[in-house]
Amino acid sequence: MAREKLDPPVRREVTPTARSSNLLAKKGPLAGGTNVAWVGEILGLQRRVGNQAVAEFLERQTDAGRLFIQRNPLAVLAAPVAATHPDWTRDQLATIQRELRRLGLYGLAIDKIFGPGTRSGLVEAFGGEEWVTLAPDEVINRLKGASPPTGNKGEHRFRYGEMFKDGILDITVGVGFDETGAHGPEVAAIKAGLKARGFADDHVLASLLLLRAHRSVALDAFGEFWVKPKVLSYAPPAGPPRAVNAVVRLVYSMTGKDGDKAASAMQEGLTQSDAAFYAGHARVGSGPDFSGVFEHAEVFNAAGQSVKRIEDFDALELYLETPPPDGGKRHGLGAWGEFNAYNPILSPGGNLSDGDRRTHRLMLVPSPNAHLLLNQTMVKRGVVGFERRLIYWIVEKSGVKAITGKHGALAKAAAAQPDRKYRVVVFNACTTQDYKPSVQGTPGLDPRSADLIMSQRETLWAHYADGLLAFLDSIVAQQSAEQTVKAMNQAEPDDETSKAAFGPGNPAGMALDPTIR
Amino acid sequence: MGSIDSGYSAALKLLESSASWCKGAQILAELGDKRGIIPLLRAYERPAESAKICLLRAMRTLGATRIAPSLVQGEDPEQRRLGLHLMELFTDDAYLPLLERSVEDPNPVVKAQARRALRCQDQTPTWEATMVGLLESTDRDLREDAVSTLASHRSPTALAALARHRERELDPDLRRVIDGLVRA
Repeated sequence: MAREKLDPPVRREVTPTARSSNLLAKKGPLAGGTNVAWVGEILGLQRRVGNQAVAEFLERQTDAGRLFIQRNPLAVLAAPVAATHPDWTRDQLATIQRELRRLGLYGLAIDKIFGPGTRSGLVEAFGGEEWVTLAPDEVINRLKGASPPTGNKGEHRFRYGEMFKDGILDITVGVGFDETGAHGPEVAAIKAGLKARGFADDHVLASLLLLRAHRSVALDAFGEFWVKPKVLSYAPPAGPPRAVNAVVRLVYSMTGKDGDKAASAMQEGLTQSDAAFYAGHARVGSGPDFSGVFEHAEVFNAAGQSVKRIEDFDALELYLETPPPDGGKRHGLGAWGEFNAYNPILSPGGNLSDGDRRTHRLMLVPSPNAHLLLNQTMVKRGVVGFERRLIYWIVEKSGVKAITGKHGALAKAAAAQPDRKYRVVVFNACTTQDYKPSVQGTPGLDPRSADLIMSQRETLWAHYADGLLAFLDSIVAQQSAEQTVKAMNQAEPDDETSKAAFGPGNPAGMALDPTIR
Repeated sequence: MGSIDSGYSAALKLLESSASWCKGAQILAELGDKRGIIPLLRAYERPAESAKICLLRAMRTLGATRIAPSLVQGEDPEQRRLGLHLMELFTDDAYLPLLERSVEDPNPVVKAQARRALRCQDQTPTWEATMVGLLESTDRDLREDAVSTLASHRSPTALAALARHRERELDPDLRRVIDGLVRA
């Protein structure tokens, strides 16, 4: 086994550029609008975390051009990360690995090599990075005195130590867009479920809690921030118990018009949150979507005049397979062949010249770019229908690039925050196992860095809130990965097929996760 | 009659799942029972990713265009909404007087569906005349629909109507829309 070095230390110096009061005076209102109440909140924040931190925080909030940058990839304050490779002998390392294995926190060979597996086991044992500061004997003694996590033998635990090491459970929940409005009742049910669990929609408190956990979020960040202080008590096997606060960022777009902002927030959550949960349409394997497939289509006659407007992709398919009302003929090519016979064009804004209208007899006006493209190319499964072809035609014509892959946006975002080594991601939409290869091929979401929960069948909108709340309850109760999936399956039955929403192999990943002994 | 009713019931059961609704739609189309149109539409409105074209084909076979007007003229807002959705999917010039009335429905959900159905009708001379009439509406949303669709329709008569309307349009944003769209 090749020796794997610990990631280089990350040290952040906080050098405020201005005192918060001066900054407020100089820069005027915070982005998102002036509100006198904010001033009071900021003063309270200064009292709690200090002037320098607040100045830095405000400096970041008031940077120009940050409309869609809702979080800073770098933390505001220096986060407690492993600064150096511990100066341990090989024998000490062997003892540590044996103790971690006894606790079920290390499943690799006793090779006396300090790699990601050993590091991960120590974080789970101590619930953070405290072991870096301890003498070797103290580390060994604490491990020897620890008891293994309890539960059903052979089941896996999510890496709660990694998730809770900064004292906060940070979850991003994205509810996608449905053309018939099915997302509305689910959003309402999620809010009601959060309220019933003692969460409150409080953006300012969320900002404070995230700041104390060395994370930041803009005061004008998109979405709702549901907060519950001290949502759980976490007691790592060899570390001190502590209370953990929870922030659930809920993002959605009711009309689809600000779906781009919801998509941007969801994209951030996929790498920056401890857990990210998407519920919505899978868009036939292409990725989460926070607006419609398209805004509308228009058909033009030979003179370039619009003769038909269609706002529903199934209706577009019906139109294309039906003889046109002017008595013209179809070519017998099927809906997709007819579509291409029009020499269609994708036109954001829909303002085509008369010449273009005569050349391209069918125009598709896209929705705002609210599509988190996970698969650049079509996943072919079963009959490749009109919708699947249409979505990938839009992808191709719009030039949108997948956010997955070694060089994609998600990999870059994950690399920008080396202290965040783990996340749990749920894609709760129709047959999201189609996402698996591309997502797991993304650094930061690979099997060592993420546990993924994906569906094996069509999931039902009416169950999305129940599924999310079951997931949340399981995480708060620190249940095993298997129990979490079981709870989600119970929350999302399908009477027709009786097939579990989340099948065997869920979660995917779990390469370094603890195993209950 | 009994076997038709049992076949109808069995077909409705099949519509409950996206895995079987195409089979149910086929049975309903073969039975020729118009009662199947609304269950087909309700299945169509379910937020599922499975192919729905089979549901549309069955509704067309069963004569969706013929039942839509009676639904739209009913008392129940949900029935009106369903009728207007059918009018969006299966267009007909004969709907235009009803649509012109329905875009002023006091129920906002019904009204929104009526606006959408009117925007999606075939752009015939009768449709154009209806939209030109809406330019005089006191409801800004209706004028916006009329302006945007007529500007894209671009027949000489539509462009002339927009040009005449421009000076009367009080909303500066809509005036700008007219200028921009007519120029494009």
